[in-house]
Amino acid sequence: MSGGDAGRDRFEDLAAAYALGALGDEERRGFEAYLAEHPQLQAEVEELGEAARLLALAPQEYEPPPDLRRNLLDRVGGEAGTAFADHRQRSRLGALIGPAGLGMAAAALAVLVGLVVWNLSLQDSNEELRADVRELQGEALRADAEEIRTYELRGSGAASGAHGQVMTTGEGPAVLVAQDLPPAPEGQVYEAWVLHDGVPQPAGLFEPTGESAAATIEAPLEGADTVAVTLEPDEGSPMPTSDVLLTAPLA
Amino acid sequence: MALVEGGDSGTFAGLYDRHGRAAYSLAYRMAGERQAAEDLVHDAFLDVWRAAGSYKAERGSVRTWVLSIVHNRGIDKLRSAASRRRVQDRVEATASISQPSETFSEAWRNSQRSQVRKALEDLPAEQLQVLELAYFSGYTHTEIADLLGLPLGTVKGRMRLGLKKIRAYFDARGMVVPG
Repeated sequence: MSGGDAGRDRFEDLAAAYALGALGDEERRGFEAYLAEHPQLQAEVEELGEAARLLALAPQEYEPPPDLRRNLLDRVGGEAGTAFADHRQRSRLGALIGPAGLGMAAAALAVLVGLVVWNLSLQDSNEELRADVRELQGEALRADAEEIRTYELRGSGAASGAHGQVMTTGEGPAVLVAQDLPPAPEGQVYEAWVLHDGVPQPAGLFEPTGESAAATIEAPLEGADTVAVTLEPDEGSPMPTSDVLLTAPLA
Repeated sequence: MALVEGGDSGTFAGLYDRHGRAAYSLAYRMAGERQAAEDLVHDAFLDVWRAAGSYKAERGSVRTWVLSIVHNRGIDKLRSAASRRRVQDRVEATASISQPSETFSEAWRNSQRSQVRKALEDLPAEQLQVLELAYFSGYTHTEIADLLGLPLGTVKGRMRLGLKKIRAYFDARGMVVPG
């Protein structure tokens, strides 16, 4: 590809095809060389690439045959040179930190939930007390930083300014902490969902105190791909009935 | 992923259980038949096992990375000489995705997968067709132009507009593009 305006025009011309993997080898190499010389264009390519990669989620779903899993794990087990230990017998986190560590991490998370809830209950108390609580929360997190896995929650739609985290040790309930969440309208409550391949499982109701919220996730995260939050009628709902307001991909 | 990189086959099993279904569905869509899809997923997950160290969290989710490996392997396969028997009838078959199935209609419209499908439903059929021929069938833009009897510039334009509209669908609803 040439430089200057002609190069830029050519870039515009080929960027989408590049993002889709639809350039021939020679064109692709030329495009990548031009991109290397003009790194400011990388963001535009990445935006198109993100859209292209979404297509991978579009196909109708099929369950892979059990033989495929078995053959693959036999092969991998052989390459690892070890007897294969199925994750269903021992969680990934368990394999990493062992049963004793899991107990400690779970306990720390339980303490953290208490601290967060306590902190929220102190919204109207003095700032000094709340600062103490925040410090304790930080200590709990630091002490178990390796044992607690966190996933970022991002807001969307009416809660686009909201953010937070889902935290889990892999054992016991996970915890959701969110900030800048709008108050639930009269007659409604926030409901958490754990999604397995897009199928939602109810995971508990909660209401923010001020603009923050803390809640335990009342459904296992094992094998799930997303935690989401919607607004539902006061008594909750067996299926989501409104737009997603918070999402945390677990992958 | 650090555990997979370190040779933890138990963690690898968890990775497969979490992403195997999506990987197989993509492979089946690309390969068009069961055995080829199995081979594709098998080889792609071996790549994942052997190259776990190359995963960069800042570049997207593990799922996106795994599906990219499946997709790249699928494209290589489709473009190999043996696979050049692809025929015109696949062009017509690719349009079917734009029709919402009953199952889809009942699915939760806010799940990531259903949102992606909804975004694709909103695309004009001619743009969707071009995207599908490129992404799932592995045709280059030049080949698509030949196949559909269109000027190359038209194909490029449809690709660009199609991707921009998918992106705009998520942006307009304040939704995060699944990474």
